[in-house]
Amino acid sequence: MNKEEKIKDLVLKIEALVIAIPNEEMAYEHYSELAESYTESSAKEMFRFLAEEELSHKVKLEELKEKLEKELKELQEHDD
Amino acid sequence: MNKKNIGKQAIRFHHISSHFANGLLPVSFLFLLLFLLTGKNDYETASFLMALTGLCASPFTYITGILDWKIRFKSASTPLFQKKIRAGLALLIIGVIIVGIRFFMGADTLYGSSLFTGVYLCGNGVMTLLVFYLGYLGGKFLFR
Repeated sequence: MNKEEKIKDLVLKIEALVIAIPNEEMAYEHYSELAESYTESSAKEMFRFLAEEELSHKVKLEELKEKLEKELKELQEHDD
Repeated sequence: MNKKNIGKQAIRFHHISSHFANGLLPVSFLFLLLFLLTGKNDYETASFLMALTGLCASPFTYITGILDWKIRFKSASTPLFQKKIRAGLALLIIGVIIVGIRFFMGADTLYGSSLFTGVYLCGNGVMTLLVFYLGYLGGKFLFR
C-alpha cells in the first residue's frame, strides 16, 4: 500500500469511527434511561450493565480514533 | 434545552423532513414523465405540487442535518459529510430554480422548446438523482 492509499484508508477508518462513536453514546443513553424507568432490580441491573458496555465501547472507539488521527497527521506531515 | 437535546431533536426532525423530499421528488419526476407520455395536464399539476411540497421541506432537512452534524458529529470534516452537505445544497438551489421557473411561467413551461423547458426537465431529473444520492449517503450512517 503506497502513502496515498494509506492516507485514504485512514480517512475512511476515521470516518467510520466518527459515525460509530455517537451511536455508542446514544445506546448508552437509551439503556441508562431504561434502567431508570424500571423499579424491578434485575431489570435495572441488566440495563445498567448494557449501558456500561456501550460506554466502554465508546471509550475504546475514541482511543482508536485518536490513534488513527495521530497516524494520519504523521503521514501527512511526512508528505509536506 | 441544552446542546445535547437540540442535537437529539435535530436528528428526529432531519429524519422526518428528509422523507418529504425522498418520497415526493422522485414521484414528481415520475408524474412529469407520465405527463410527457400522455399529455394529461393533471399529471403535470400533481408533479409541480409534489416538487413544491418536497422543496418546502428541504430547508428544514438541510438545517437539521447541519445541526446534527455540528452537535452529534462535532463538525467532523470527512468526505461523507462534505459530499452530503454539498449535495444537499445543490438540491436546494436546483429546487428553487425549478419550482421558480414553473411558478412564474406556469404550465406553459412544458409546452414549447424554450431554454426554460430544457432546464425544467433536466433540473427535475437531476433533483431526483440528487435525492437518490443523498438517501444513499444517509444510509451509510446506518449500514456501511
